[in-house]
Amino acid sequence: MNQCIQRSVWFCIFCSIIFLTVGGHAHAKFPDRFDLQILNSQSVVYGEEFGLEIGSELGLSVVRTSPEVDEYIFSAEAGVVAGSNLPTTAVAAVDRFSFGFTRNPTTQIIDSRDLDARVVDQINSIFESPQKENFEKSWSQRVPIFSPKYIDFPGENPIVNFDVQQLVLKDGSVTVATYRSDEFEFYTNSGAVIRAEFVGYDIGTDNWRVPLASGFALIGTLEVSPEEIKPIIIRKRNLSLNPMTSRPHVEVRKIVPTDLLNLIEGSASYRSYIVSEEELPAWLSDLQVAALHVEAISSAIAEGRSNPLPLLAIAGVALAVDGFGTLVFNLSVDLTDVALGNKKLGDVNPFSDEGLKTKGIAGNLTYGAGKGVEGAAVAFGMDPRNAEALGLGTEAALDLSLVFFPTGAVGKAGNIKKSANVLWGTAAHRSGKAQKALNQMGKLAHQLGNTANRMSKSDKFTSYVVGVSGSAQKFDAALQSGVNIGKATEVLLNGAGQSVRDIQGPNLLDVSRSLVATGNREAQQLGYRIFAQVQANNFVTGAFINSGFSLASSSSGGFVDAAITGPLRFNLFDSGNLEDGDIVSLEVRSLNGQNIAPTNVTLTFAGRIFAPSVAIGPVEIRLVSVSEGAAPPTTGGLQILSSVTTGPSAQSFNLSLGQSGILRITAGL
Amino acid sequence: MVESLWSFFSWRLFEFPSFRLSSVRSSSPQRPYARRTWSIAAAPIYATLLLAPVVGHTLELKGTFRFGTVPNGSLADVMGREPIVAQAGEGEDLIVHGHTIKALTDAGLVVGTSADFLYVAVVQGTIDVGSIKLDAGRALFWPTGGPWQFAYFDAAVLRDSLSQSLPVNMLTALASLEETQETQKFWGLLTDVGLNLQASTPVGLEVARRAYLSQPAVATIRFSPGTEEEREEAVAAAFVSALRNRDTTTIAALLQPFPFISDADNGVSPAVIGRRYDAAQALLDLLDSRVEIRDPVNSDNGTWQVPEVLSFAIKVGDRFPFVDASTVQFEGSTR
Repeated sequence: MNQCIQRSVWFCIFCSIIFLTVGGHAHAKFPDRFDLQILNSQSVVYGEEFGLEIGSELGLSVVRTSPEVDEYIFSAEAGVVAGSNLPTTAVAAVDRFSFGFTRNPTTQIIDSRDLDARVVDQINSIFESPQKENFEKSWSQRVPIFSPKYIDFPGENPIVNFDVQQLVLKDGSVTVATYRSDEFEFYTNSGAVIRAEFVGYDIGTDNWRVPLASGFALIGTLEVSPEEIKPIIIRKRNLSLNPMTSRPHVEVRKIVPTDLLNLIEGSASYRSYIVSEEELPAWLSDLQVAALHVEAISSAIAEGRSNPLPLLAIAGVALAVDGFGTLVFNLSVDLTDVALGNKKLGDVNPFSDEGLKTKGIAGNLTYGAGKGVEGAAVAFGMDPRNAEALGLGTEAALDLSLVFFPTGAVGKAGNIKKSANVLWGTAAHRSGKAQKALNQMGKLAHQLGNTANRMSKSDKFTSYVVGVSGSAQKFDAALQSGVNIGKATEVLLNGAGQSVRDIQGPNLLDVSRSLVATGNREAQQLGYRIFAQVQANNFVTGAFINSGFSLASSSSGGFVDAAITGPLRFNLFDSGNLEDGDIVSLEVRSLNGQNIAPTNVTLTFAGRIFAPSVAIGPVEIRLVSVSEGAAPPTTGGLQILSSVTTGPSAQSFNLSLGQSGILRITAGL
Repeated sequence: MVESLWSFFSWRLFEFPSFRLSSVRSSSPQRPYARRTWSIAAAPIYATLLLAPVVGHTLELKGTFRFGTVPNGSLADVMGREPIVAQAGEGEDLIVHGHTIKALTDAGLVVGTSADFLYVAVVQGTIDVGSIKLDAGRALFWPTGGPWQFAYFDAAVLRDSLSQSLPVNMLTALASLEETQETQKFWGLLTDVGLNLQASTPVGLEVARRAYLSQPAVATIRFSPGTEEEREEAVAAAFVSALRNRDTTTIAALLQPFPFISDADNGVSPAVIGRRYDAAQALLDLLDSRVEIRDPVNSDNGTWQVPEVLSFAIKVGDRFPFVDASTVQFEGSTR
C-alpha cells in the first residue's frame, strides 16, 4: 500500500514537472491568440528638414476558423499623424472598421483582400520556396527585397544577419528574432539614392503565432543630388498590450539587446506646421514602401527559418498596421490639400484603390478636428466609388458619412464629445464606444508629442480650412442658423452657391431627392443613402447607421443589371412551353431592408405582378428554384413594368432545383 | 499644385490627326502607399534668376524642382535630372547638345532630356530650330538616332506639372493655350496617344536608364546630330580623351554598365554604377600617366586602337555605343 502511495506521489510530481516544463512555460500567461491591442508608431526623419510621426492603435483578434484557416482581424481604434509638412490629424473609429488577412497554418500562405497584394505575394514567395536549412539560430543570407515582380526599385538586395533565440519569461516562452543588414542601396522612383542599413526585432509566442512586439529601423543617407546628401531614419514599432490592463505583454528592453534597440527607439524631431505650403518630399512614399517590404520580408524569413512549421504572424501584422497608418496619413494630406484650396472637402477620401488596400472595409471612421470649425467634424466611411470599383456594390459603402457642424452651436468645451454625439449618435456615446475612441485619440496625440498637445494644432488647422474654403464658410453660416446637414452636405459636395438658409429645419427626404436629381455622382450616391436612411428611420442627428446586410453587386443566373425610375413593379411568369408547376422562392431587398420576404410563387403563363416599396438605390431580386415542375428546369421570365432606363426590361431565368438567380436593379426617383 | 518631381516623369504624348502631339500630362502613377504624398510632394527649390551667358546673348535658365539657376557648363547635367525653364529674348540662342535653338521673339521654353528624348516645349513666343519655326503650344523632341519630331503639348498638364516652377508670364501663356486646346480636344482634333516624353518606360526603369544614359558625357553624344558611326567615333574619342585627362567620371560614364550587374541587383542599381566607377578607376590605375595617348583609330577587326597604348571594343547597349570594359587591353604602357 505504502509503495502504491509512494508511486502515486512520485507520479504526480513527475506529471507536474512535465506540465511545468512543457505546457506551463509555453502557454502560461501570454495571450492565446485572441484579442490583442497593438500600439504602433512610425517616424521618418530627413536631416533637419523633414519629420513625420504616425501613431495608431488597433485591436487584433486571431481566430482559427477551420483547420486550414487562421484569421487575423484588425479593428482600427484610433490614429494620429503629425509632421513638419502636415497638420496634426487624429482619427478614431467607433465600429466595424476592420480588415485583416487569413493564413493557412499548414502551407503558411496568407491571403487578404484588404492588404497590398504585392507585399502579401512577396511574403508568400518566401514560404513557397522551401528553406533548405531550417531550425537555424544564427545565419546570414541575401534577402530578396527588390525584384521586378514585387518592388521594382533599381537596387542591390542586402545581406542580412539573423539571430533567433528562445527565451523563457515569467509569463511563458517567447521567440525572439533580431536582424541586422549590411549596407545596401537603391534608387527611389524620384531618382534619389538611398544608402542604408536596417535592424529589427520580432518577439512572438506560440511558435510565432501571436505577435508580442516588433521593431524596425532603416538608417542611412538619402542623396537627392550629389550636392544634397542628408541622414535619413525611418523607425517602426509595434507593441501588443493586454487589453484589460493596457500594459505591454513583454518588456522589450529586457529582451532585445540595447545597442540594437537604441537604433529603433527615438522620436522624430520636426517643427509642426498648421498648414504648410511646403510639399512633402518626393521620395517619401518610395522610402515607406521599401521599408515595409524590407521589414515584412525580413520578418518572414526569420520566422520561416527558425521554426519547423513556420507560423507566420509578424510579417502580416507589420503590413496591416502599416496600412492603417497610411490611411491616417492620407487623410491628413487630403485635408492639407483642402486647406490649400486644391481639393474640395467633399473629395477628401483616405481610402484609395491606389494606396491603401481597404477592400471590404465598412464602418464609421471619424475625423475629429478638435474644436472644429470652430468646429467642423467629418465622418468618413467607404467611398461608394471605391466600393463599386472593388466590385462590392454601393451598399458596401453604407457608412459613407460626410457631416459638418458648427462649434458655435455646441460651445468650445467638449466639442469633440459633442461631435461624437452628432456623428455617432447619442446611443454610441452612451454605450462608451465614442468615449473610448475619443480617449484613444487624445492619448495618442499626447504620446506622439510627448509633452505637447498636438490636438491644439489640429484645432488651428481646422479653422484655417474654414477660412480658405468658401463653401465651408457658407456651410458654417448655414449651420449657425439652423442645422440642416443634408443641405449643407449638398453645398459641400457640389460647391453650389445657393443659400442654405432657405430651409430652416431638416427635411432630409427633400434633400436626398435634390441630391439624386441634381448632384454629381458622389452627391447622388449620398442622396440614395440619405433617402434610404430616412426611409429606414435610422437617420438620427447625422448618424448613419449601417443596416448590417449587403446586397449583391451584380446580377446572376441569367439576369442582366437594369436601372429604373419610379416605383418598382414587375411581373413574374412561366416562360416555358407548358405551364408545368414551376415554383420559385422570391425575395426582394433594398437599402431599407427586406421588401418581400422569401415567398414561394408558382409560375403561370399569366404571371403575378409585384410592387414592393424599395428604397432608392440598389435593389436585389432573388429567385431560388423550389420546384422544377413536370418538365425541368425552372424556366421563367421577369418583365420589369417600371420605366427602365438601362438594361433589358424583359428578363429570363433558367434555374435547376435549388439554384438561385439574382436580378440587380438600381432604383431611381 | 505641383504634383511632385514625379510629374516630370509623367508626360505623355497625344495624337493629333496626322500629327504627333506631345503632352506634358501629369498622371497619377500607381502608388502602393501614401499615394497622396504626391499631391503635395516635392518642395521646389528656387533661386533668384541669373543671366547665364549663351553664345553672345543672355538667357535665363533655371531648374524646375531641385535646382535653381543653372550654373555655366552644367546645363547637360541638370537637364538630365529635371526640366529646365529657359527664357530668351528676341534673337538669343540656346545651344542644347549641339542643337541651336534661336528665339525669333521673346520666348519661354521648357527643355529637358529623358532616357529616350531631348525635348523643347515652346510655352511662349516663337523659336527656330534648324530653319524650322515653332510657335507657342508646340514641342519638338528628338529621339536618339532619329530626326526631330514636332507636336503639340498639353498646356493644362504642363501647367499642373510645373505650376510652381514657371514664371507668371509663362503661366499666363499656358492658360491661354489651355483654353484654345480645350476646344481642339472637344472637337477631337487632339488625341492622347499615351507617350510620355519624360518617361517612355515604367518609372523604375526610367530611373535606372537615366543613371547611365543621362550623364553629360553620354547625353551629349546621344543627342548631338550625327549618324550611328559618328556617335561610335565620338564615344571612342571621348573615352580616350578622358583617359588622357585622367577623368574617372567620364571614363566610367562611357563604360557599358550591364556587365557590372550582379545576382544581388535588381536592374542597374546604385551599386552597379559604383562598381563601374571602381572599374574606371582601376583602368586609370593601370595606365602609365607619362605615356602619350594619341587619338584612337578604328581597326579592321572592329576594335579601336590607340597605337602602342591600348585597344578596346565598343558594344551597343540600350541603343548607345558604350565601351566594353572587358575588351580594354593595354599594350605595354601599364604600371
